[in-house]
Amino acid sequence: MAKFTISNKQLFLFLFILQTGTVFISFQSRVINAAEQNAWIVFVIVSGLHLLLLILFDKYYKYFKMNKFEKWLYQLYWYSIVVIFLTYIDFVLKLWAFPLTPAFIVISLMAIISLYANLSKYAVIFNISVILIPFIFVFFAMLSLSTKDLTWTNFFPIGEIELKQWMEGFGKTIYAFIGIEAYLILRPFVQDKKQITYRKIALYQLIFTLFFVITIIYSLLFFSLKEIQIIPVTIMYLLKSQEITFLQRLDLFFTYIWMTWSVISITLFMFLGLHLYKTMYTRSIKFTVFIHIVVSILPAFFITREMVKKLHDGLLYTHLFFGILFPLFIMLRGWRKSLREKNS
Amino acid sequence: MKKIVSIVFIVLLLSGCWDERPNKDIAIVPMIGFDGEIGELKGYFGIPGQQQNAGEFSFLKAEGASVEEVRQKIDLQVSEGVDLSKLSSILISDQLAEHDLYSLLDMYYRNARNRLNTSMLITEGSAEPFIKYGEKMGGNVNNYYSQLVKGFVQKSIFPDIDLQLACSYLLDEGIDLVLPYIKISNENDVPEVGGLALFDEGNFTGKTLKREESILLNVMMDKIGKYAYITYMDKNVPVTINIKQINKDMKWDGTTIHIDYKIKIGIMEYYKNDFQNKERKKELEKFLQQKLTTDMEKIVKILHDANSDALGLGRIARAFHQDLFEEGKWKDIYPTLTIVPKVSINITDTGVMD
Repeated sequence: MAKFTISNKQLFLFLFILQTGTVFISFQSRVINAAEQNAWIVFVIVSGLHLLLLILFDKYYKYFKMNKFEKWLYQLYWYSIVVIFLTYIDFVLKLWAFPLTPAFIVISLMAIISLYANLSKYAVIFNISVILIPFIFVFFAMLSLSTKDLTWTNFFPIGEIELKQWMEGFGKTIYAFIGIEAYLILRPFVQDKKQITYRKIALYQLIFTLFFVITIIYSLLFFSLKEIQIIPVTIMYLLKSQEITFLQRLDLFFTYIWMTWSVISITLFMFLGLHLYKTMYTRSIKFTVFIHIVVSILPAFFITREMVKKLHDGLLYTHLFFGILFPLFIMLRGWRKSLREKNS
Repeated sequence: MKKIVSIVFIVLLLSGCWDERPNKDIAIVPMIGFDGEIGELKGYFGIPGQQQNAGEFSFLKAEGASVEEVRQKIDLQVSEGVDLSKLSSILISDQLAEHDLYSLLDMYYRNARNRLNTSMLITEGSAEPFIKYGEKMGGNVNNYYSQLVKGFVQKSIFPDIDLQLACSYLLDEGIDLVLPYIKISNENDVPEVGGLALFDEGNFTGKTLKREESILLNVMMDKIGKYAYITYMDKNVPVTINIKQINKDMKWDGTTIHIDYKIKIGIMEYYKNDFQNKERKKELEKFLQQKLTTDMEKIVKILHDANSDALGLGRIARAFHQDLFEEGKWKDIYPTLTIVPKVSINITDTGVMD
C-alpha cells in the first residue's frame, strides 16, 4: 500500500489541474449552445451544487471504502477518461497544430511523460502541476487581449431560460467537474486532517468557478450565438483572432500551454488509477507500463469527429455515476457499516 | 523534477517535426482578389518573390467554382505550394460582394493555418487592377492594403473590422457589416480610398459612404480611431475639430430611438481664434452641434435607404427590447424605426493656444 502525505494546497492544485486540463478549451461552446446567454448562470449554479458535494465528501470521506471490484471499476473509469482525453487532444492538435504528425507519435509521447511521472516518486506527481501555475496567468493575460472586442449586449437577455435549456446546460456543464471524486481518494493523505476547513473548500470552488465563468463570458461576448454553433473550440479561435506584434499565432502558443496542461491532467488521472491498483497489489511496475501501452494504443481507433463527440457525450453520464452517485452510495454503505459496528 | 520538466518541453516541441514548412517549399500570398460569382469565380493572387527573388512580383489568375478551387488552380501554376497563412488582405469586387459575402469566406475560417486578422476590402469594379498594382508596391507588397486599412482605421474612416469580426457581423442578425471601399484614382491610376461599403444581411447594398460620412458613422458607432478630424465652415471660417470622447445614450420609445451623443472635441484649426469670448465659444459649440446633428441625420437616412443596420441597433433590441426584436424579422422592422440623433458638443481642448 502506498504511503505518502500531501498538504491541502497540493490536494487542491491536483484537483484543479485534474478538472481543468483538456476540458477547459472545449466545453464553453457546448454550454453556450445549450443555455445561450444564461450559460454562465447555469455554470455558477451547478458549481454551487458541486461545492455542496465537495463539503459532503470532506465530511464523510472516512466512509469511502471500496472493495476490490469497485476499485477495478474506478480504474476502468479513469483509464477510459485518459483514452477519451488522449483521443480529443490528438484530434484538436491535428486540427490546430500538427496535421501531418502521426497520431501514435503524439499520443505515445504524452503517454511516455505520464509513464515517467508515474514511475517516479510521489513528490513528482504532486508537484508537477506547479509548472502550470504561471501558465494560468499567461492564459488569462492572453484572453484579456480580446477585451476590447467584446460585445457587451451579447450578455443579455439574462434569466430568460426554458426548462429544456436549463437541463441541457446542466448536462453540458457537468463536463467541467469530471474528476471531482479524486478528492475522496486523496483526502485521507492530507497531513493534518483538520487542515481543510469548509472555507478553504469554498475558496477552491470559487477559484475554479471563476476560472470557467470568465472563459464562458469571454466566449459569449466575443462570438455571436450563431458563430458559437460552428466553432467548437471557442477559446482557441478567440486567441487566434488576436493580433500581437511579437507572436503571429497566439493560438499556437496557447496550444502548447494547453497540451502541457492536458498531459499533466492525464498523468494525474493515470496516477489515480495506479494508486488504486497499488492498494491491491504490491508489484505494480509491469502493470504501470502495460496500462500506459494500452491507453496509448486505444485512441488511434477513435480519432474521428463523430467518435470524439460520442465519447464526450458518454462522459457526462459516467461522471454522474462515478463522480456523484457511486461515491455517495459507497459512503452511505460505509456509514451504515460503521453504525452497525458501533451498535454491536 | 527538473528532469521531467525538461522532458515535457523537449518531447512536445520535437513532435512538430512532421509539420515543418520551410519557406523554400511555399509561395507566400499576401493579397488576393475575387470577381465573378460563386460557380464562376475569378481569383487574382499577388505573390512577391522570396529571399534571392525579393523585389519580384508575380500576378496569377485562375477561374473556379469556389474560392478553394481557385486556390488549387493557382497552386498548379507555381512550383511551391501556395500558402495563405500570411494573407494580409482579401479584395472582393463590388458586384461579387452583392451576393452572400460569407460564401467567399468559409474556406478561411476552416483552416487553422489561415490568419483571422486579414483585412477585407471591397473594390469598385474588378479586383484585378488592385492586385496587379502589386508590381508597383515595391517593398510594401506584403502589407500594402492592410497598412492602408490600418492607417484609415487610425483616422476613423474605416472601422477596425478584420476577417474574424466580419464573420461575427455576417452571422449576427443584430448588426450589419461595413467594409472599406477602394477604387482606382482617375487621376493617376493608383488605388485610393472611396469610403465605406454598406451591407444588408451579408450582401453589399451598392451604397457607400464618402470619407467624411464614414468618419461620422464611426462616431455614431462610437468606434473612432486615434484621430477623427472633421472640418466645417462657420461663417466662411474653416474650423477643424478632432473628436476626442463620445458618450452615447440611447432611449427607446416604441419604434422611435433617441440617440444622444455627448462629444468632447479638440480644436485643430480655427484662425478666428476668439475663444477668450465665452459667448463666442458657446456659439461655435452650438454651430457644431447643429452641423453634426444634421449630418448624422443624413447618415441615418443613407443607412435606412440601404437597409443597413451598421449601428447595431438590432443587438440592443435583442438585449433589451425583446418584444420588438422578436416581433418579426429584424431587418423588416429596422426600416420602420425612427432614429433621432442629437449631439451636444463640449470644446475641451484648443491646443497650446487659448
